Amino acid sequence: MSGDPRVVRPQHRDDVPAEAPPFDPLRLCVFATVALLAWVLGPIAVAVFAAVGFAGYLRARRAGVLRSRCKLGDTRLVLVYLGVLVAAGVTGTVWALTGRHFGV
Amino acid sequence: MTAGMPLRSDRIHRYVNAFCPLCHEEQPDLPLAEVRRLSGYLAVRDDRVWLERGCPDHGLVRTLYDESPEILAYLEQWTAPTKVHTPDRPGNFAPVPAAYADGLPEVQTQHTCILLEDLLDHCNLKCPTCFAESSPARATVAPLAEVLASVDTRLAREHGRLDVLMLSGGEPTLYPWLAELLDELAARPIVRVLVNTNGLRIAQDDDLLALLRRHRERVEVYLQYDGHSAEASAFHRGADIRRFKDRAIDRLSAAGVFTTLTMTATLGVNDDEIGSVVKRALDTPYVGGVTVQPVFGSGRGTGIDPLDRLTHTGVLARLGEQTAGQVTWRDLTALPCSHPHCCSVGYLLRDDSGTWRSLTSLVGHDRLKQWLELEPELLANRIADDAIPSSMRRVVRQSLLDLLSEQSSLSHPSMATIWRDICTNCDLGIGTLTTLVSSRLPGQHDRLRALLGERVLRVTVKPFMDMNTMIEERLTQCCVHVATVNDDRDDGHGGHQCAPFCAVQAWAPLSRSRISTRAGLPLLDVET
Repeated sequence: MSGDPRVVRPQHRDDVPAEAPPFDPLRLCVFATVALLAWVLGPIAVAVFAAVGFAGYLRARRAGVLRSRCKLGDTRLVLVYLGVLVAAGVTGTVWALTGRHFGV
Repeated sequence: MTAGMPLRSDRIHRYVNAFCPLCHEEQPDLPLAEVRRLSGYLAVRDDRVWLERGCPDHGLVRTLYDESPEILAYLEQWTAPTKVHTPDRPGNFAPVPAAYADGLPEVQTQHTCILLEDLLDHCNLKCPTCFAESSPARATVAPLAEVLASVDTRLAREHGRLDVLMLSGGEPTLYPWLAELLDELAARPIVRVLVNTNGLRIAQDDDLLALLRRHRERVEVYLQYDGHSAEASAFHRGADIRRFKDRAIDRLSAAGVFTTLTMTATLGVNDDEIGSVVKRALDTPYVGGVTVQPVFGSGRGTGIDPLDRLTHTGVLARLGEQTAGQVTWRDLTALPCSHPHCCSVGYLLRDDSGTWRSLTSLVGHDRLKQWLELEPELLANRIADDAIPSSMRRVVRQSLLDLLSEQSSLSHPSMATIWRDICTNCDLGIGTLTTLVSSRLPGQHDRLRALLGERVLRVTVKPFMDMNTMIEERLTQCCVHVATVNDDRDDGHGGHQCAPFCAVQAWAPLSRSRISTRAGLPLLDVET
């Protein structure tokens, strides 16, 4: 085919970009599932998610990520926040278990 | 579930027959009978109009056709019935472009509004963008008898009347028998004679100016004028010759010779000077018209980017921004008699308060269409226009069609009648003009002439086609015809005939049949 810019490919089915797929509301499902877990597991869910998050940010921090898209910005602050959540989750879990045990 | 077929990424505007510019560049001298007509279409994509055609050798070839789909659609609203023509060879049903080897064929759908006679190939400039490839080195001259025979042939085939005869070339003011020719033409039923000139001789030659002045009732000058900048002059004319242009304009204005400034406009060179050319025309008495011609790629006019160039609607779109809104594209309409893509026209009138207003703004688009009877369904449904009695409506319609036609300019002998009919019947609010064209006082003609020279301006945009924009339907409806000669055909008229302007410039076999080339004599033989 000529290299002249006037020579163009005719439109074929495979050349025309497919229409944008309809929006997949995956996040809404994720949010609902997180809420379900939080409802069923209570503070245990908080402790587990916070611990996973803390581990992830700790690894990222060690890999050199100093700033996060999180509103807190500095990854050290995020680690502190997640650490507090882990502590709160653990405390809540222990409190719930011991509270039931002692009939509170 | 399957997704089905996707939509095209463009919108088809209309289906056309076109030609392959790549084939043309590879074989510019191909016999006309071997030129392939290609199926194609105009498509709107990215808010531009593209010409796409399928070539068996090159595949799908896409070039820019026009810059604004909106303005192109607006122009297409203005079409009027065309006039019957007489074919140069009856029974010529050959396809385009081969048909034009024998002149106007049977399937031409418009008569000759403008006959262009190339008097000579010789020129005192060698413009880098000349479509006729004229130059000082090319020196053939059409004998006077041949030119007159060509004109007489056309007169015979136009039922004894020619609307416009344009003298071109080469440089027509260098024609050795110009005075004799103008005298001969004055004795024939030709409404107007246009001299298409670069103005160099007019700027310097008093005898030539006197000749034009003597014929000024019939003769109008089409003066090449590309803008105010040295760059525009150098690009289009090969040198900064602005002082000659300015002097030519001043001398023609002082002599009362109606002049149209003819601007060749090129993207990135002088497309920003369109407004200044219009303003110069508004400010100069007896400059009665401006014609803007986007540069096209026939002859020496190469180097145009076929994918990004100045177009008809591009010129129209630039008018408003460059004249601070004084003239906008809505002040122009397509020329109703021609193909709507081929020419647009508008009139500006200076009212008694000194304000320039367009005919379309004075009349209104809808009323203008009604008067031109361009919208039959609108006519059928509307309540009768009480402002114009039916008999007057016919007069106004014909006047407007005359005004908005190729034959029209301010030097048109019937212009007084046309303006009288329009002004008095339609209450345009142009008091002085109305009074003057309606009066029959002694000296009225000269006063009207002066008034038209100072207070009326005709603005036209004339986009000629090259092979990147050529579509067959515009050739078929073309009414600007170039005199050609086919001396293989003995029809009792010496083989004199004519063919559409754009076809003659684009295809070499037709270009060689122009009267100045085919019937021309060497200039040295003429002078000795």
